[in-house]
Amino acid sequence: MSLDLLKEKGVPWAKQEFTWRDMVRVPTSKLNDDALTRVRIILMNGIEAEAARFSHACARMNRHLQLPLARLRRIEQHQQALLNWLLPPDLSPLETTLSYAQTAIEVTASVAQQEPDPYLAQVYRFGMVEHVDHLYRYAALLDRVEGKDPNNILQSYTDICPGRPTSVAHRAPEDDLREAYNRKSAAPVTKINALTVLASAHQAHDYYMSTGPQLADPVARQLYAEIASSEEQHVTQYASIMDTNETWLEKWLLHEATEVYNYHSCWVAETSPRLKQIWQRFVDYELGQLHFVRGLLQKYENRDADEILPAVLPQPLVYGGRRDFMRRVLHDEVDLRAAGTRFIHKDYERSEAVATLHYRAHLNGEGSPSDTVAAGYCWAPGTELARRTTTTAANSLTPRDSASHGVTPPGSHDRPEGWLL
Amino acid sequence: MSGRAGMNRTGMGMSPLDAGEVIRAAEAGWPQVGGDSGTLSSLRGQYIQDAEQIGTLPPPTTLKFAAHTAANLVRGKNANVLVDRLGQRMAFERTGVRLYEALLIKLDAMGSWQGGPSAADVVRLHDEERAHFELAKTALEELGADPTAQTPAADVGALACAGIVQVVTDSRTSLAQCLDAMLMAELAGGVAWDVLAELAALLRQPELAEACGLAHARKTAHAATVRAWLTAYLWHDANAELGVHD
Repeated sequence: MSLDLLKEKGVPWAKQEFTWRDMVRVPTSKLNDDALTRVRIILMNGIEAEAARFSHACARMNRHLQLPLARLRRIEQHQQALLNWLLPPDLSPLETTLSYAQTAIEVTASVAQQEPDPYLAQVYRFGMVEHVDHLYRYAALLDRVEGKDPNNILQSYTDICPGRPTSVAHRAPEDDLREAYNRKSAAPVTKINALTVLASAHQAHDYYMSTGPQLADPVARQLYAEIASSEEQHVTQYASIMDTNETWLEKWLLHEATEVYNYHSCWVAETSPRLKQIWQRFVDYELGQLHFVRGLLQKYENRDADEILPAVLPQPLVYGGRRDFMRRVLHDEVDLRAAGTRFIHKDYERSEAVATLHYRAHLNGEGSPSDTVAAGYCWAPGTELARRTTTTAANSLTPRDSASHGVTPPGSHDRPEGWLL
Repeated sequence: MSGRAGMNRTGMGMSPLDAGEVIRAAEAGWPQVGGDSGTLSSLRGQYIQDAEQIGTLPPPTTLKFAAHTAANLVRGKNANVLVDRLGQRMAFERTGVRLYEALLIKLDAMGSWQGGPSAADVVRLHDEERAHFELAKTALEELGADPTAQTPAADVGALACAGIVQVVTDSRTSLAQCLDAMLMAELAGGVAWDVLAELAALLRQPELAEACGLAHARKTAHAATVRAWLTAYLWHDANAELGVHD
């Protein structure tokens, strides 16, 4: 289903209004709503947060744009509140974190598969493998500290397994920058992909930074500090792939187009009727905002949007169904590392990424939280504790060794007889 | 020692100069909007009326559970209530296992007191907690329900329990403060198993009712044990007899 960006006008920005009651709605259900609905909410919250972030930065550098930026930013602020408040309060901070990690994996996987530039597709795959590991570490934390099953949140859409170990993903800044696309030759979907993944990563970083201090367990606090640092690297990486020669107004227009694209993708994929209405409303709002910015581009740079935007949106982002792709990438690329803007096998890090090795060794010098949390961890349905033990005694703790449990190897869970599904 | 004085700044007594000023400013300022906290209640009421339920159980995923549900329906009984509550017990006890693991770490690091817990005591409670988890899980499986599903009662129970996890895993809380939190968990757990025993009997699950009754007895004993530890601590503290790290 396609959308003509240049013809569809949406709702004029001046008519995009909210009340507090409109903004604060009945939240989604942690139990009954689809995990991918939650992924979409989280992604779009991130997209709106990125819009606000960019808008403020643009305002600092462009006096003549401050009022139009403020006008649209106010609307997007309220859009963001409406969306983010759809997350239910019974989603604990750690459960929300798992949802964020799932969002990063699913969105990056979809983007990686639709990206036409092979180098940038590799950039996304490189990041995705690290997101997989973040989810695995957070899952171990939820299981071992709170005794909860991470799959209750993930709903079996996303594997819970190690990716590129977070402890070896810490890189010196010079090894986090990548090559940028060329604004004149890059496909529109390339630019939209970059903004989408950047928004997702930046939001995850900010969430982990604000959540870490709220957790009491020192192991949790360390893990959040570590993974937030890793996410900062991702934000650095994804921001570097955008052409710095794009003008402010060009970037603003691309932001609006990215918002239209992603709301449209959400609308296409959404299974909840209530959420579908919200996505449709916001597609129309973003179209109105896009045309507003189009007018500014014409006024201040004497350029038409059609030199930047495609007439028709790319194919909508696909949600779910990426398991085989992810497993293949994990298998083939988990041992990749970075040296400058290139990707290398880990065996070459010693010679080509010396600064990274020093940086990583120092950071991990007093231990690695991600290694500590997930030592020996293998997810099982119903948590580690549900894994059948070989003897009764193996269920018991021994003093001074409270982390030991008698466990059977993975793969020993039989489906009960008579399952309908 | 919990009774030790230090630089707690939260009370007005710690701000002898500013406290009066704060009171004077509040009394001098008129409320910006008239009325009282009833308007807050009214808004809450509107949201409650519009709210959807937190969630439901999953549909039957086994023939066994479908049959069990149907059999109870014929008798005018709702077997889902039992599944919901068993799901809650399973999740609660599972968290309880992790809580006792955390408690053992704290005991190891901080030491105990006369009349307080020993490592063997905590291990025993941990193991019994785990047995309760297994009981609830097995009961769900025997009913043909999905033990990996998070039931609505389990979800709400986890919310209620979240503060207990925070207390016990905080490296700054004393062992006694953790026992305070654990006492809440054990008392609530005991009542829950008792209610479950009655529910199982109502739904013609006599073996389950008996097992739940035993779990209730054990949880009641847990609560008494934890209470005794805590009381011993408070007695020593009040008599200024403690030299343990707090």
